[in-house]
Amino acid sequence: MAADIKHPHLRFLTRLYKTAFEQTLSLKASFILRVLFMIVNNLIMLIGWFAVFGTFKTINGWTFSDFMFMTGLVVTSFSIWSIFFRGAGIYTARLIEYGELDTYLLAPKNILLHTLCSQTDPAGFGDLLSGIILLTASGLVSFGNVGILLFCLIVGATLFVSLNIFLGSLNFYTADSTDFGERLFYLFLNITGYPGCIYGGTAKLILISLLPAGLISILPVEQMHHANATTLVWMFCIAALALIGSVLFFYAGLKRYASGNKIGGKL
Amino acid sequence: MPQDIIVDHLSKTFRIKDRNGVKEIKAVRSVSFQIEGGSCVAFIGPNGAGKSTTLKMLTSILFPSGGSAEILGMNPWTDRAKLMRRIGAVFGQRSQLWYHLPARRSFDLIAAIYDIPDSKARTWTNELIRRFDLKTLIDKPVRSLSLGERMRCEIVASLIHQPAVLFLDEPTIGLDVEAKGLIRDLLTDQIRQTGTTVLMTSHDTGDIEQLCERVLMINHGRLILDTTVSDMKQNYLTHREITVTYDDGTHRTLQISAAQSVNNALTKLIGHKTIRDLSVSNPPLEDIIRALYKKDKGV
Repeated sequence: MAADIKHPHLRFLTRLYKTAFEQTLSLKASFILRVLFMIVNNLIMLIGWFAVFGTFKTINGWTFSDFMFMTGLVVTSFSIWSIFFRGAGIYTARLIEYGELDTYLLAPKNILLHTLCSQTDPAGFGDLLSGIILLTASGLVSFGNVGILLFCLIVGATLFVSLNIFLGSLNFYTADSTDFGERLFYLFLNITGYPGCIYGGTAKLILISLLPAGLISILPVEQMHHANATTLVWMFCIAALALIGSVLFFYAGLKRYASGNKIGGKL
Repeated sequence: MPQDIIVDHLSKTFRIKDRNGVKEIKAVRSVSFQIEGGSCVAFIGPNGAGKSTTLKMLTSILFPSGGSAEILGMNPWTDRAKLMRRIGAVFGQRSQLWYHLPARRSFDLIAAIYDIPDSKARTWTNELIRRFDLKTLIDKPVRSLSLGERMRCEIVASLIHQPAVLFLDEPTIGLDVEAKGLIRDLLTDQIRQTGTTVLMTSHDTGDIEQLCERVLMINHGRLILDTTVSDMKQNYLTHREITVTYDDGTHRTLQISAAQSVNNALTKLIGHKTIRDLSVSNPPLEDIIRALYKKDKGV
């Protein structure tokens, strides 16, 4: 219970999540439909690739099991952003665009954290459920590598959150870049939807550095088979850099915030 | 009494990009004033005069382009988190309530945002619920409340942390006459009981007359008037109206300039009839304010 928590920040975050979840659950029919739709959506996507792997057995050394693991990891990482940090991305972009960040600026709490944690998407629960099923069904997870899995999930979620902080903050700099940011995000998400094994050479290099979708869709499968300390450190550094960079980008933009006078409420 | 709000040559310039390049809009130009603790001051001006921009700078939502300000001895832009614990704000066009949840949930969250212990928050919130008569509304989803009911909840939400200074930006906007009256009465009681310092913008002269003792008027980003409500009525009175009711039941009204003597007007009105009743009335505050805006139009 939030009421029993003494630490002020923890109490604030717990109650913020509780309120956000209650708001989501208050629309029960919509919640259930979106959860179910997301599970079906993820399974349909898998069926196509099941047929491909049924024909070719392996693609550049990857089996269907590897693909299932990759999809499970992408979907679960995505769900962490979607459930716990959904305020990053379109929500922040719209707050900035319509000058509605005022309510958050009036609260004596960290504005970025307050914004990130104040939204949750019901579809994220569908992603989380299907992600756990896929990770378990892939057969790649064992007691020996569960730590690697957790590490990869944290890296994946950090990248999704960072990217969304960055894209949401674009509106501080250019008016009405909400749609542009959304499209960029789905471009990134699309890259993570293909088996990482199809990328090689320069494409792979770009995907594990500049456009780090490969940190979610390529490297984790490799690390689950053969963990390598250098690669794990690399993954950690890129994820940390992405997070720090996006946070700095947000705060630099906040100084340009112009507020507004649109009539509205906290939805 | 100490000065709770000190504003010194505060300015704000917005840079707007359009086809012809970057355009500078000076929204607030070197505004200075001080507000004593425990007083209620109206901050008025026509649309686009710079009222909300000034309020947003004082509540640290916007950074100023120049000048300085101190609220309760703190700098709004460097001491944001500390200052936010001591001030409250109601922006009539913004909501701090969660739309699909009962207002009670938002109040609980606000208590956590301000790190108020649950027992203390519960006692004070219950007192505010009683004062603002929210008992029957508090457990209904905010989306099902009327605008007036929602505004009462918004004001309670801004008072949960017992702010020493309250900024109200058009708190009665869009409300009907009854709801406006109720909000004003509740605010009057609240201010009297707690001694909160209030700076309030409003286009409604009823808000100003009932709640405020002093008026700051801004136009084109400049402060053009700083006076008490009663002085404004006295000094900026342009005319008066004398109405007489004659014995035969007929009425006659004569408008005279503020400087003109009532004696002369009465001589004209008496004529050959007997007067049963007589009244001398000042124009409504709204007319005075309109005249002042008009006078400043050329600036």
